[in-house]
Amino acid sequence: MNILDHIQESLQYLAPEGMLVLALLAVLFADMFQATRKNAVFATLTIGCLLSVGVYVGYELFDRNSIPNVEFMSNMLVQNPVILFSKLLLIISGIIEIVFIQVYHYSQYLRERGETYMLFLAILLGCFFLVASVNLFMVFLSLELISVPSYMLVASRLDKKSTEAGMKYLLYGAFATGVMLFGISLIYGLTAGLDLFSERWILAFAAIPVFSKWIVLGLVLAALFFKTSLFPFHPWTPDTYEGSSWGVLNILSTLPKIAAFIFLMRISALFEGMQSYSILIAVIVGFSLLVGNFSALVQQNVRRLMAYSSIAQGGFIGMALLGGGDLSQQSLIFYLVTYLFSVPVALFILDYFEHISKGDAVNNFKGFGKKEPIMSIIFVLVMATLIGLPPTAGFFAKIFVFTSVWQYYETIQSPILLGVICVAVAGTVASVFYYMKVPYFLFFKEFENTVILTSKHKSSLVFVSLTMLPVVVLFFCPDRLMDLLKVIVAYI
Amino acid sequence: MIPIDYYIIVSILLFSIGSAIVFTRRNILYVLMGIELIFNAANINLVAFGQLDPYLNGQLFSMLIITVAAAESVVALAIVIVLFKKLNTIDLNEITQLKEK
Repeated sequence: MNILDHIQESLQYLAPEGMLVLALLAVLFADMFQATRKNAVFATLTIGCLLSVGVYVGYELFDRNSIPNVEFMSNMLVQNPVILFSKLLLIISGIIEIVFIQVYHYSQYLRERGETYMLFLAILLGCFFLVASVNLFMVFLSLELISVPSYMLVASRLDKKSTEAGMKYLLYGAFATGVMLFGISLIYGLTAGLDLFSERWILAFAAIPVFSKWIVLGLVLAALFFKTSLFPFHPWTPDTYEGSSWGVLNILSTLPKIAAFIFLMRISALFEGMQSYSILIAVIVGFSLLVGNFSALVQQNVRRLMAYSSIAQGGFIGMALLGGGDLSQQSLIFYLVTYLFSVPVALFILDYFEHISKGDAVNNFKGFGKKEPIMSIIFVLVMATLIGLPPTAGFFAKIFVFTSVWQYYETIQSPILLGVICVAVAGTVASVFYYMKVPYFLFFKEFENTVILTSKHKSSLVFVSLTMLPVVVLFFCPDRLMDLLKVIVAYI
Repeated sequence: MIPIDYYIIVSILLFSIGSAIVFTRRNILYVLMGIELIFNAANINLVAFGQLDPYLNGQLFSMLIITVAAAESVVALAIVIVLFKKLNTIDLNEITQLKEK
């Protein structure tokens, strides 16, 4: 078949990505003229685009039986219900982020620049490509499409702290990318191809020695571990969290993580039953849980606390990668769903308190519980979600993840897996202490701040409660989502 | 034709030198150069293995890496300029706004 015809035929599957590019160009165009260089115009364009992409993807997902599991663009990308569903998750989290930036009273600099929206759309585009890619070539390109805009977003406040955060993020990120590229070049030599999900490639990969498998996999997954802030590539997290603004952090800690974890999940499904892969992931996840949970215990600064907590959360989500079976995949997506709703709320409320108390140390939050009761109660709920306590969906997310790992342990009986489970249990216990540190200061310490609380943002309260609602609702009907995920995961 | 092992030796050397520079040098520009060396180590590997590939995928990939690395350097240098304006230094030891307390 003629290559041009093939490309033309492939374009029908790229409609969501096309719409994102159009929105990006529209924002760029609006940014050129004084009359349209307004926050309202940018936000309307972006949210309008996201909603239409969401409706499109939702419709395609709804009649999923008519879409085949098809590879297109010269076997670079793939289309199937799992990918459509993860695109839907990305869009939901994207809408939450844009609304976050709008509602958030103090991020004027983010809201009023067109660049924020353009960079955000570029990151979303990269995530869309990453979840759908089946070729290492495409994985590299989409990871770069996520990384480069995020470096700029982190540094976009242009003051001392944020440029330093951006610089550190960039140095770690570029190094991780370089390591991944080196790994890809070795894989290309060992298996004579980059088409990850083809039968020929899997056979070629299974034939190489175990030691080479370890090295090559470790190198290639480096950039994905960087994106999900897992163990050897986690040191950027605390510094970046401290230096950049909460609106940016919200983007960094949801979109690329969701995309990278979905891609890792597809790789786990590919390597199902390959011990060298699951041992590698087990070691990395175990160390992330250790570093994240136990460093978070000693933090006095809420930004750093959230950073280490995000490393630990990455570890918990990563535990669902170990098994590679249906249950693990379901529990991974379930965890991601609760994560994408709860993290923005946690960051939003922390930002709200940080700005009324003019400081990001936990000490400054003393006694706010009585002054801002509704916010504080929702905050306790969010923290319960992140720990995994009822009555929130976080409880079931943790239970499902632990069940899937335990099942896998019963089949292969590896001591490393047992170690991971022990570390995870200890980490969950430790997480109660550090997550409840802020609520403790909110409710059990006397108010001694000199700042007068005058800010009553109704819109903030509405945003926070609406975003929190799905997490609480999911607690009462987790089986509905699990049944849906079971149907979807079968297509992987 | 030069045997393929020689290419691999050169690329591994480049990768190690690049990593050593990244970990030891404290000047941001040197660190960026080290990262560039790592990228080029991957390029050498890809081109060397690409000789054996009838579709020349390795060659194509290395061209792409060069382009993307250039884009990444542009962003890096832009941030370096802002950083120098704000802090008057590009030494990683002296940039300590953010650290554990």
